[in-house]
Amino acid sequence: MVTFGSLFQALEVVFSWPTLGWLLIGTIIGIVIGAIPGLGPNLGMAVLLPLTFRLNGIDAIIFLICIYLGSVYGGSVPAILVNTPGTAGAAATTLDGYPMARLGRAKEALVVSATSSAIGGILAGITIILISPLLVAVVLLFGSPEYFLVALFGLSLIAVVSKGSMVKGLTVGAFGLLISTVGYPIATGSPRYTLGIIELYDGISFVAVLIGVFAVGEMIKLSAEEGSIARENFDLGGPIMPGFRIVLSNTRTLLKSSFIGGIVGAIPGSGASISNFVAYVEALRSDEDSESYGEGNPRGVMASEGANNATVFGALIPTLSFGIPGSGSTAILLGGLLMHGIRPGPALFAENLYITHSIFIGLLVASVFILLVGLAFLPRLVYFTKIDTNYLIPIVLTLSIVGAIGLRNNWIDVLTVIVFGIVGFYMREFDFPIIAFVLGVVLGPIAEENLVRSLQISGGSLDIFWSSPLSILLILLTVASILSPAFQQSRGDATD
Amino acid sequence: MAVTDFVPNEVRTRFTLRHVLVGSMIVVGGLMLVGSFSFVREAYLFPRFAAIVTIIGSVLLLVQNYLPERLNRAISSSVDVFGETEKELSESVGSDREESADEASSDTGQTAPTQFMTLLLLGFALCSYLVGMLWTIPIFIATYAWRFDITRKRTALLALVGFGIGLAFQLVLDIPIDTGLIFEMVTSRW
Repeated sequence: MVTFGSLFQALEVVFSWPTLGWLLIGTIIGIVIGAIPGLGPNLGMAVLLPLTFRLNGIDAIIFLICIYLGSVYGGSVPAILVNTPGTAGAAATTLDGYPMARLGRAKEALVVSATSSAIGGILAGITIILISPLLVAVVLLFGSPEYFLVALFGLSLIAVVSKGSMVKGLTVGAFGLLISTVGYPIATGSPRYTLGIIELYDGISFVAVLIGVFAVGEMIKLSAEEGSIARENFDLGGPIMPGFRIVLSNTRTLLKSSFIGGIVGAIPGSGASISNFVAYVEALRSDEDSESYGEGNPRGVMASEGANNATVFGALIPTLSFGIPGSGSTAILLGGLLMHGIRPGPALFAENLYITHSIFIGLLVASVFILLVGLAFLPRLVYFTKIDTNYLIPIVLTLSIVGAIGLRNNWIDVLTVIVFGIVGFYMREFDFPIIAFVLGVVLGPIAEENLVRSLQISGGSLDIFWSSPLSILLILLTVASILSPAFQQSRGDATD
Repeated sequence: MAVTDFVPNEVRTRFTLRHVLVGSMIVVGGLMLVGSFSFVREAYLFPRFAAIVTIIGSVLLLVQNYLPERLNRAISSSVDVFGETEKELSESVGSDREESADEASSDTGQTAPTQFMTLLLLGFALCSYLVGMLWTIPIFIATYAWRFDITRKRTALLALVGFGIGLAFQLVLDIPIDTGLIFEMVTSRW
């Protein structure tokens, strides 16, 4: 049964001022960031994270998560109008959205996109709130050894499902873990790798690493590309009802896509960039009129957009319950949670359940905002697809670097942002899964703390890591995920 | 004459920035592994484990082309849990990418944007440390605008926006970004 007490408390929080204001601002900023090709939720969240310092914890998290949700929807605008997905999560939207625009149905496609995004998100959100008691029961089974093992499993899985080779994923993941060990460890009292520099005693800020990798690295990459300016113009006049009717008469496609989005989102390392294609392919497979996909079938837009917003909800499950982010955006969100003293884990499902419910209810309200803002400002959204990214690069870089010094007033953070921006750029260039590196940095302290605490409980014995059925299951899953490429390869060899 | 002129062509083509990246991870991993021997038990366990995995993985990636075919394939293989159709579709999106400015600049003899940006960012950090970040922001933006051929009017506007961002951060977060090392040295002498 859903805990009604915490739900009412969450409703009170979300509908209070200024929380509702931050929710709306976050959603609008997200939509704008998503609508500008080349930017995206990771960059927007990373750059604005230091600015949330002055907000209270729940307001800051709701603001950040609304940027994430808004930009996933915003990405569909350039996908439909200029055949360039604003975010990776809207890539499948181009397949039918752009042909619809070319057929003179741009407004219909945009209405289908806004409605599907909103309803897909709402369906996923309600489902997660309903199953939250089950999540609570599962999360409460976890102790320090299980948390350490789940962090290891998360890292191995992320390395496996991310783009690029598994060895690359594991290597950069371990490198990220290594970077996180600089400074004073939580469990022991002696400093590590500080080189006598006082500024390094607090360690390397993982928020600075995130800003570097996602904002500075992305801007260096963008500077090497031609400024993306959309020149096409579409007529966005006419009624919005036909788009609504399409969505309401295809509820099965929407339900299925929302469900797929939620499930895929909950798998670490996947995210909207995968879920929109999985949902699109499933819609195509099960549709009697599959021939029309790719030619401007609105159900193609529905499938992709219904799934990608639902992914945001699914991605929050591992982030909030185990502290294992499912994507770059949730890694930044985790950074925000820790920065504001909110630790993921059992507490978020017990005494602080209202925080978890506030986040999900905030997202439900943001989904409604997406529909209202998306439809009300539909013709205005076109302008954002025409912004030349060359003008945005120096502003984003300024925000990133000034934001870095704002984190702790520590020059090491400025250096971290720049160095990891450059390192992140080259990692991306050479197909190293950047998400594995980021998660290494983010998960490092959590994994180490639980490792040391487990060893302290067991008096130094490693037996504690296979003393419960849950621990054994986690070990088996980790081993299976690490060995899976070898199995797959040997199976491929046998087939050949 | 550049140092690279003395490097044989064969070596130069094989030695890429990828090797520098992987090599850096080996060096950092190695130094941190050695450093871990001076820590107490609770403190060395985690960095030593992470350093060993980093070094082994990096070495495998560095020598991957010299390994037997089977091992080489195992290192470069990735698991695709979401099937081939999604993969093919995602590859078809955005396949008609425009020529990058890096490629274009190699024809014109200009510094490649990525190299320019790297130097510009390092210069920004150094200059900010010396004279103060607030005063460096307009110079940083003007240098960027000069390289990317942005008109003077727009450069002035961007510099103003950048200065405004810096000022807002200074006022809201109360961080002293209007002073640098030189300012502090001068004021302490007076």
